[in-house]
Amino acid sequence: MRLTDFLSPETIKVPLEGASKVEVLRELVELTCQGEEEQFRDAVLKTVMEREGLMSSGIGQGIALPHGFWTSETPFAGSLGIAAQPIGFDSIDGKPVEIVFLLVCDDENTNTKLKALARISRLLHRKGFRKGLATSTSAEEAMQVIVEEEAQHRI
Amino acid sequence: MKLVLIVLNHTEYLEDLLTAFLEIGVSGSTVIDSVGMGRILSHDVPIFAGLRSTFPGTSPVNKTILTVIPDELVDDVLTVIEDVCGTFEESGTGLVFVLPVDTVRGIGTGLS
Repeated sequence: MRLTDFLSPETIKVPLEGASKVEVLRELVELTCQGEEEQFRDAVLKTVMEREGLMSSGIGQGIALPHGFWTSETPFAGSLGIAAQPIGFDSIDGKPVEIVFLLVCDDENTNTKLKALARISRLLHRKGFRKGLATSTSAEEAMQVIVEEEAQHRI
Repeated sequence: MKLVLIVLNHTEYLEDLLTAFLEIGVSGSTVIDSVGMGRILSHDVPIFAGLRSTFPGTSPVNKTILTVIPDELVDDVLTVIEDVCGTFEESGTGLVFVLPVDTVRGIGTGLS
């Protein structure tokens, strides 16, 4: 799985407008659930917040990978937001986050979500990739950073 | 089915390697703390002490990773191993080999 399989400039927001964890998560849920009704988005946000309640998805180094569930014709989707100012996220390293990937899937596709989480977390180990995303000034620029990073990997 | 065995001297790649496995659908593997022959001989056998340069790339410990995978995943597994760890051509990097497996019990259906 490649990030370009499920991300596009339409599902990337730079910069995020929210100033808190909840605001940012709501923003990304709305980006991921474009065209859906408010009730649907609220239900997705609820699953994301429930997951955050178990343990923060802030994995350190300014990155958060929140994820949740939905019931949708689209089995799996994701979005990316880059914060203008670091946001408190209760991360494991105690530091605020700048890069937030949100992943959502239905009950049948948790493996797909797991593979996506693995790919994101592996690529984000590369300092240059993190820096490229964090300093992006537009969705198109962030997408280009992703395309260039993935071009360096055969899989 | 195939058994892929990796002796990884650069253990700093372990986390990325296992993450990459998950990414391509390898749902399980076993990781064993291991030590190479060169390390034991050059450190523990007195007559070979001082001959450490004879065993290039000798690392204090390495990791041995075993995973049983379907045949169709072998190419992807070898590709991600090289992407993450390099080509293993440099002495002391480690070792990778693939063996046929006749029968398996005890592994789940894995990721699809």
